[in-house]
Amino acid sequence: MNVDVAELLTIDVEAEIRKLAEAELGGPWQVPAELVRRSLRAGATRVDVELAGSSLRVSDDGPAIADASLEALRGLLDVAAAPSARHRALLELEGQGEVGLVALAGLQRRTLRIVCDGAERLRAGDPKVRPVPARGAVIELEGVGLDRAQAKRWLEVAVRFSPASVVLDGVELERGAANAVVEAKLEAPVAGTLALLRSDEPARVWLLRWGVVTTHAMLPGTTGVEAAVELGERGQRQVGAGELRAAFKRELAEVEAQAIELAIATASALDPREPEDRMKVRAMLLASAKVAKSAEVRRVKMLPALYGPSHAREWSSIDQLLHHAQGKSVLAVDTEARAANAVTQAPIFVLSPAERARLSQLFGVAFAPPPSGGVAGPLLSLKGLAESGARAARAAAGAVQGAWQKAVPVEDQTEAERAALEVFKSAVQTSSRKPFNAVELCEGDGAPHVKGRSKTLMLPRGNAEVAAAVALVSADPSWAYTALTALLGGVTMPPSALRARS
Amino acid sequence: MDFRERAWFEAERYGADPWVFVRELLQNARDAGAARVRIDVSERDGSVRLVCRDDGAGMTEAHARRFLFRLYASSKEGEQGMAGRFGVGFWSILRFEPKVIVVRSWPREGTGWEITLDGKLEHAQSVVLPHGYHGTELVLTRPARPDDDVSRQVKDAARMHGRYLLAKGSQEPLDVVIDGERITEELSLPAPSATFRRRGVRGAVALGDAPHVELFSKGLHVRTAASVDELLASPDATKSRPMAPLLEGLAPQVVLDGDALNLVRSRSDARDDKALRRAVQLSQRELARLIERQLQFSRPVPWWRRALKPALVGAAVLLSVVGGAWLASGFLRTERPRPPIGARPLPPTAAEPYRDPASHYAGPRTDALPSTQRPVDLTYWPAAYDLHFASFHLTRPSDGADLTWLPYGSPLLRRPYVGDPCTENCVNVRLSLSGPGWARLPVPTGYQLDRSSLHGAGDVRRTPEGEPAIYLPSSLPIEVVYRVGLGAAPVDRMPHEVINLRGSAPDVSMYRTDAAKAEALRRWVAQHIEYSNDPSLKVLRELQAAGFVESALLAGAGDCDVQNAVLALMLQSSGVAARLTVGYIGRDGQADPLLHAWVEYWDRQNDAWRVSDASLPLSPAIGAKTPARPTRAAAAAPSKAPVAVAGRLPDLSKLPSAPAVPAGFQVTVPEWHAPAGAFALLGVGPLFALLFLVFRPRVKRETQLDAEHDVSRLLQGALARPEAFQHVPALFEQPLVPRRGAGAISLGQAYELAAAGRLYSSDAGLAFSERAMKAGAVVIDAMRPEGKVVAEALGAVNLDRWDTILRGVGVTPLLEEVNRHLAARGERWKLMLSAAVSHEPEILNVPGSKDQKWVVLNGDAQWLEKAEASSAGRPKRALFQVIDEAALWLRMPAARRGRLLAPLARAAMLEELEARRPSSPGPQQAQQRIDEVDAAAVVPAPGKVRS
Repeated sequence: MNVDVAELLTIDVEAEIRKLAEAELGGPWQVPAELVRRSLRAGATRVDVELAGSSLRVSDDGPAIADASLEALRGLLDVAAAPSARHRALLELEGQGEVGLVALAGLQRRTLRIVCDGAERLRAGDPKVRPVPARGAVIELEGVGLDRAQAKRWLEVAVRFSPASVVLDGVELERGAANAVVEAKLEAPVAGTLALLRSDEPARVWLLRWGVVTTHAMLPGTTGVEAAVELGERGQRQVGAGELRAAFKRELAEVEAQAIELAIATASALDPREPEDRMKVRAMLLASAKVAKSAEVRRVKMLPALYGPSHAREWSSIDQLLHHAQGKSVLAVDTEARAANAVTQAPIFVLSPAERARLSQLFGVAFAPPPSGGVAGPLLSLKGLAESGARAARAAAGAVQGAWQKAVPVEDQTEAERAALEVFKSAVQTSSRKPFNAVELCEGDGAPHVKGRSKTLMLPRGNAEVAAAVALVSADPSWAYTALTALLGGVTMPPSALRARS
Repeated sequence: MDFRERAWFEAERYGADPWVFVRELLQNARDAGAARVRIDVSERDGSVRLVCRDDGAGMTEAHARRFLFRLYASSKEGEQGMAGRFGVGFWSILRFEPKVIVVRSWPREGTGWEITLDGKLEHAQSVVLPHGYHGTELVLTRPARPDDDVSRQVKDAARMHGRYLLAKGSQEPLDVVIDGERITEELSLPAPSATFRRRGVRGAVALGDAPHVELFSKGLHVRTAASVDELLASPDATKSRPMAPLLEGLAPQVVLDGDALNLVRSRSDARDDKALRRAVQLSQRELARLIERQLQFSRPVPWWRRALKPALVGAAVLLSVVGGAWLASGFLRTERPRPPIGARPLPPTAAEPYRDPASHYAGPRTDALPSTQRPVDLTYWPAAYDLHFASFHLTRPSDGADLTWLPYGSPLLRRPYVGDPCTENCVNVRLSLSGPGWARLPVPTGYQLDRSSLHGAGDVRRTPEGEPAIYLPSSLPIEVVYRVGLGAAPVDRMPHEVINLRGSAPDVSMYRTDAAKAEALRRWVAQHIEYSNDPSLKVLRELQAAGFVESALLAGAGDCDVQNAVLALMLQSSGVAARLTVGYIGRDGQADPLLHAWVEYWDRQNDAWRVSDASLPLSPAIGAKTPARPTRAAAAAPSKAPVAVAGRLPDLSKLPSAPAVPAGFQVTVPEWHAPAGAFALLGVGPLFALLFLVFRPRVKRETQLDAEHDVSRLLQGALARPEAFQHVPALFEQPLVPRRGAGAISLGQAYELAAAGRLYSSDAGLAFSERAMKAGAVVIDAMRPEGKVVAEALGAVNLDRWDTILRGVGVTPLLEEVNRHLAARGERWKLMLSAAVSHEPEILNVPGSKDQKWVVLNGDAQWLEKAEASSAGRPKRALFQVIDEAALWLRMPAARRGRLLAPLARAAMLEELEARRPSSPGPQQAQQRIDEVDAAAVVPAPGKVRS
């Protein structure tokens, strides 16, 4: 039996409208964000959202809502209109990309009022009339059924990358990446922003349409990256978040590549005074095996290492680290302070345990601590105590004696004394770090001592050790270091310049 | 409206995959209650024919016309348990681009029907079908295309979208067979994995090579993601994150299926609501649990260690329950220790309870005003009397320190209070009292407590001043009612001639009666000390020493207690027993809100205590306006209050008789209405918590663990991303890092040892590592993967390498001497030589020792060669040179180096001098000479150190 297809296949417009409004939204709580998107798409530079009580108000400084859109909305809202007319109105709004206005139609509300450039353009129900700005569009709803707290939370997330300021209940919402090490613009073929974060958040790409987040996708291979990609008109056809993600899959790889490039450029350009930032960027580059093992990343000088006896810090690459690792362990410490007592000329890498673990995992590098000096002090003993006491007594005696001792004039010095003093003085002059600033001979047979503020080492010529030192040093200046070590009596050591000559 | 156009639009909303209609067919079958679905694909005559048949409830033609063929209409809307509800899913069949669509259905009741449509939806035909088994059949036909493997595509789509599909209302998989191949399977993942189910959420978690998350709703696929975080709209929704999704071999894999998920229409996402978040959090918890279980399986922990934590928790809960119950029971008892008086709890609206003012009264002061006083809840009847309720008495201005709360059993309260029963002119007093401790009961001046009015056993004690006092066990306010009658309670000592104010007090010896003297002095004081509660009133402090009275007279003004204290002292000085009394004025049956002070003097002529008040007119309440200065006339005129007239009591015979104690007044043992709820919570709360823990909805779980699972990967992950594994504390706390010999240490312990430079490793287990272990050092077994990853990452000292170094180690006589010298001086390092060392020395923290270090040199070092060369002729200098070089190289601080080297330097110098002398002695003699010199020096000679 033939069947009238027109009678058989029909469209339930009411159901369509009811379901369409929230079809692709996470819930009514996303409607304020959709209305903000509408404003930004229209060109607004500031959008104010008020969520108070059971009302919702979105106002902007953009152009008025197009007459066609308002007409379509009016048609959609007209429950008395024929289903076909309402359906046409719906198609019209969909065709214009007015998702926000479509969502309005499906939102539970008591009243709706739209004012553009100071003139009321649409009214549903019996709304309160509030003052409106002379320019811009205002959408007001009363008796709205939506989760306010969730709406606010979503707005805070959704407008973070908005080009215009969005004010929620009088407070401007924060924009931009939170706590970024560096930010940059994405390059074609994608448009948007890219940031390397200080946090260890999984890498995330926010997909925006006209500055408002629609959905996000993760970059599974890395961490600490946040990108916001503006799809604009491109994202219009794919209404749903799932479709957007699917359609954008190719571009995700592009974003990831640009993030790595940014990390590489940042890794060596960061201020060395910000070690935490550098560590974060390193972590990002090491997070993915594929990235970390790439030739480009292996060449980046991003690993801090201490070189030479002075432990000067230089930035090394993974390749350099692997070079040092050939056949043996690589020396590494957690912090530079731990390398203070290291007694090696080999480079010491300053890497956290996590970084070492990651490098071990990726490249099979074994790490080892550097040989460390810093021997512990001698065990306490009576003898040691006695010696300390004796040193103190000697120093005190010397100080007492030295209080009135004056230097022996040169003309009163013997040849040997002059020669020895010459050696001592020249060593003092050439040393930058020295326990005393001058050396003089004095009368008496007490112990050598450092005198006064001038820190002059006074050598009593009558002291047997001093005499011995004079005898030796005058004949062989290379004895100066040993002699002064003896004369200083264990209080300190002679200047290092003397040692070099011994 | 163009149905086809709209239907196509909705079909395309499902995404790019044209085979998504298979999911919709399975969904419809499931929602119809089918237990079996059969899809058969065949090719014939250049056409591909797909037949999908289910044994669900079927539908009538009317139902189909209303819902199936009406776009957006859905019979499932609002129905619980239904997967579909948007009313568009069926028309995704248009993605197959069929040329012919045939829908047949046999409802459980009614006749079967068939409708055939062309692919353009322009023509339709209907047929009535003979009765058949209930269910629905869909036939799609289209021309065959080259390379078009419809069967495979349908199977793939069915697997992807519906492999975990369950029959509606059942935990059994929906039986889906496509061309003889079963599609549906149990929800599971390869080991190590765990499947779980809890309240409408089921899922599986696993550890695999690549991260993968799949979300299902009622068994139908929704979306995939790289991590569970991606499922949520906003990133901060969940706090837990058991592991990073990017460690090779450690990637979390999650399959989640929720019954309560709320999908968007395209079914490509679930709404970020409570149901989704609950599912995500559950999966994260299960993942963390899986890791712990796997760890436990791979590296079992002894049962007693596993039981320790739960046992401690259980003990704490039990203690809390028992303790709370004991506390609560203590307050729920009806039998309470009897207080000494009849009392009952105050209703909540009672005013501030009475507290013995003595606790905060410091005595009359002329340099400061008393602190803020509190109104009191004291009433009495008959209300016609105006009474001075005496709270306490002072006999001297400095008595404040004596009047503190008296502890129970104080010797001052040894005496029982004996008060005569009152038979006429009685006054009943009611007040609220609050403890804890002893409290004086206020008794009006001239009255005594009728002891018999306080029923019940218990103590009513008497203070030395004759005040009755009772003991209140707690701070809970109680109501006390007692009776007082005319009379005087005995006192220990009458307060007369306590103080002599010769010269300060006027002479009242001419008056014959005590009352007249009192009145005369009262007027005099009132004239010379004006009442004032002006806060700025200050008397010269230095005159305090001169006496209270002098100070007050000098000031010429003071509060009521200053005025009346002076009056009391003057009365005493004049031979009249008098005391300063502090209490409350009662008018019209109610005590005035604030404290007042007056004088009680003993009227010997009438054997009674009388009131005399120098502050008349009566001092106003604190904070009220200062009254006008009383004039002489006013001061002389008696006040209206009967008791204000000194020496004259009201004529009580003219007043109505005091009523008897109200009938029905109960003197009962109190029943305390303790805030049992608060205390009961202490005991009941943990009990409920325990019951909840026992009976809470549990997660049904099945775990498949991998016996071969590589724990080292987990350890590596924890090392590389410790923050990502913080939710799996077992990774850091459980002993997973194997030690040589036996046992294991935890990763946390390994961190600590590495930081201290005391982490060693060995893979070959050579002799040196054995020695180290015997000495108590922790040596990781680097032969095993877990040990290897930890040793390499944390930089453990490789003892096998040291074994090689130490095998060839040796010492020359010079180094022997060096080491002897170092040991003698208590130094904890020593030098050795080994050819296995490069030009740079190696330093080892000796395993098992606290601070010992071995410094191994290569014998080819130039400085060492030089020292060795000179050691024969100049042994001391060689010693000095070696130790100097080594100490410098070991970065020894200068002062310490100096202490170590100074004696050696001295010896070297003298050795050189001796050697240079023409007839220089041999080494032995040189040594002797050196010893002599050193003996003369302050510091002992090197070489003669304690070994």
